[in-house]
Amino acid sequence: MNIFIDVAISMAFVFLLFSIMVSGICEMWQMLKRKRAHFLREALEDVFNCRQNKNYAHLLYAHPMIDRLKERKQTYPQYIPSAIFADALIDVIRNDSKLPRFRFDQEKKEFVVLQDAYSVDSTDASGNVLAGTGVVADFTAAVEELKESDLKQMLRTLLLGVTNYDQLKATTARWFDDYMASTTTWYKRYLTRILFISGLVVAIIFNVDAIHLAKSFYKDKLLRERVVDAAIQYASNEANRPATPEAVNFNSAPEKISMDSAVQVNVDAVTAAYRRAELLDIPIGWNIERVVGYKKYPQFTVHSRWLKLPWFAWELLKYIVLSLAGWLITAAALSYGADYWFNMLSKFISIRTAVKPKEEKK
Amino acid sequence: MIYYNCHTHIFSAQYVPNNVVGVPIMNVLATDPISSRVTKFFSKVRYRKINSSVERVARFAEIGLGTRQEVIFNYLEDYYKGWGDVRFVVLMMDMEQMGAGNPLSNYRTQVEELVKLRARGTYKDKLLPFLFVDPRKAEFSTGEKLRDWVKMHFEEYGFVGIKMYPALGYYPFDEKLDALYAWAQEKFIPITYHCIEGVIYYRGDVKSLRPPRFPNSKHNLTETKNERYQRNFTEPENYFDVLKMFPELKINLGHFAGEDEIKKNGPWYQTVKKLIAEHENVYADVSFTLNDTGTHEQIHRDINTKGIGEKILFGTDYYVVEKNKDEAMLRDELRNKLNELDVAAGAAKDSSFNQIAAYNPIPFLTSAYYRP
Ligand SMILES: [Zn+2]
Repeated sequence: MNIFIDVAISMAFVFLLFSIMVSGICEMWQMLKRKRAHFLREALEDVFNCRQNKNYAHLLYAHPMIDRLKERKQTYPQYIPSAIFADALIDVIRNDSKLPRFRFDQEKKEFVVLQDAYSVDSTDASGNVLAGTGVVADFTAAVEELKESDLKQMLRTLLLGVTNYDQLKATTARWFDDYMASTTTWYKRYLTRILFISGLVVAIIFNVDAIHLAKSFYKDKLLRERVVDAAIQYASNEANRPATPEAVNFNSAPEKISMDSAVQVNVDAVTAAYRRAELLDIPIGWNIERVVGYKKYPQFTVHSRWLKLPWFAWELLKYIVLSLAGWLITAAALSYGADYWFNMLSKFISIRTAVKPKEEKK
Repeated sequence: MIYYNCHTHIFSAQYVPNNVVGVPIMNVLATDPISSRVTKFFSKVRYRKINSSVERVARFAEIGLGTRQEVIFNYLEDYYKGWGDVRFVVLMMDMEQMGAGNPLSNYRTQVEELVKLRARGTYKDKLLPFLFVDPRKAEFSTGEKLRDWVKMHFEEYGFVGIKMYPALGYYPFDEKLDALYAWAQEKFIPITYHCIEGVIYYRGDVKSLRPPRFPNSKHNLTETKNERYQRNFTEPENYFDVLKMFPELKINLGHFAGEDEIKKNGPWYQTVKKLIAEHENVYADVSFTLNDTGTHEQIHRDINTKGIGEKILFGTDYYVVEKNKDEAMLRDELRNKLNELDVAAGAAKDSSFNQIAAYNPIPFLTSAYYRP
């Protein structure tokens, strides 16, 4: 019984170290690519790039209210508060058919820009805003002028039961909050995919074959004991608990950490995890023995020494096919994240300590 | 003195279909933050004449493929700091009909973005927009509809000229343009055409194209390669047919047929000069072409040839030309060379440059809707 727990501990520890590497790499990649901001823009393009009319996503991003949210000239904002989004969208749509107009003053030889005044809310005798006047009237008229499209249908739906600006803004903001919640879900799904892919890349580069590892831990007592000791020592130090990466949530602003320091933190975590894995001296990595086993090279004559190459290529191919399952298991395991593996490791260790005294009594 | 750059572009990559050469790569270079860090690095070394293709492409990508037209225009303004009052003719581009698929954002979006941007105080008199016209657009069921659409943009949105790019797949004498030409002639509206063989041309099936309304001996309609078929659309002889119908039409043959044509005194270049000499209102601009310093002496001779020199315009083709040379380098190389030749000929300093950049643009741009 004990041996299985020890193999589990060893495996969990290896997965933990490599998932620290993988999540660190993924996080850096996301930051450097400003993935979050681009994902947000793409999500909005999906809804607001309307070929029958205009690309309102682009016009929204060019709107000063949203444009001011970005950190640098050539980037997109990472997060848009729903109230700001609602104001900007209402403004872009109600102005759709009311662009600024230009008149050339022949005397002064310059252009004069005329902006349409917005409609003003009408009120009744007691000062209550009359339903469907002012901004709501402008917005409704602009929506009606759009060519039929999914977007027009959606904007019409937003207008249902709306009588004044506050209501229009609230409905729009509510829609945006819901849409951002879905976007968050899509982003999580996308992230799992990315974690799996980078897990696979890491598994192949470092040749971390889960099946081969499990077998080695099972067979090699010395190796197993060494890894279990290191794992127990590692897990007992709460400082080693991996920091939970900031979950991306499009409904709230990201933490303000400077990109360079965040990258540094991740680089440190990745290198530390790698060093530790290296010190364990476990059967991972690429070397000729692992690929060709302890087979003897076929005896070739001096003249045909180059024939070793196709022979080696063939052996390599066989090795890759046989290792694929192991790499895929590793990749799947790594996509669970460092956090998960730290918890699993702690659980296995507590089972081990619970089981041990009983066995000693026998 | 007010200087005019009569040929610039500020449309961003989202208005270009992805199938057009290089655009996907440029897109990555400009919007992908990792590559854009690399491109930024390369773009800092400008003026040091590294002349590597990486540096040039990087610069092009960094400027041209910014996300907004305003950002691209700001880069252009920066090049002219200290120049006083400089105005830029901004030529729009509608590439939706070129058979290369749809761009991310459509032409209506480009127009709206530009109009809104220009409405902000500092740009309205600096940025002089030319509206792009493509007679094949679905909404132009008749020539009158097309004309009314253009007219509305002049009357309401302050456009000052028209831009056309026949290589995208239409002839300048397309029937649907007649009503527009009649109106433009009456209102002295300037029309700039793209007149050089280039990399942006009609990508659709050439066999499906209608034969030209006015065939001429220079057309090769049996050509099957798009890359060469574009010559039929761009052929300068086509303008004789346009001008036969509308002799007073004010047109500018952008790029002056191209640097190769100028250097070898080729047939297109000769035709363009003939068009200029024989018609009161035909102009040519030196944009893009000026990046080849081998053309500068000939340009100087043309500027100082009576009947032609009054109708040559300064333009650079910013930012399309940025992948060859940057704006400041283009402008200064031409200006310095013209100066040198002016001085050698005993003329006043800057007389040739001022003629094409400050004086000739005035009659060109003057219309019922705008007076420089
Ligand atoms: Zn151009």
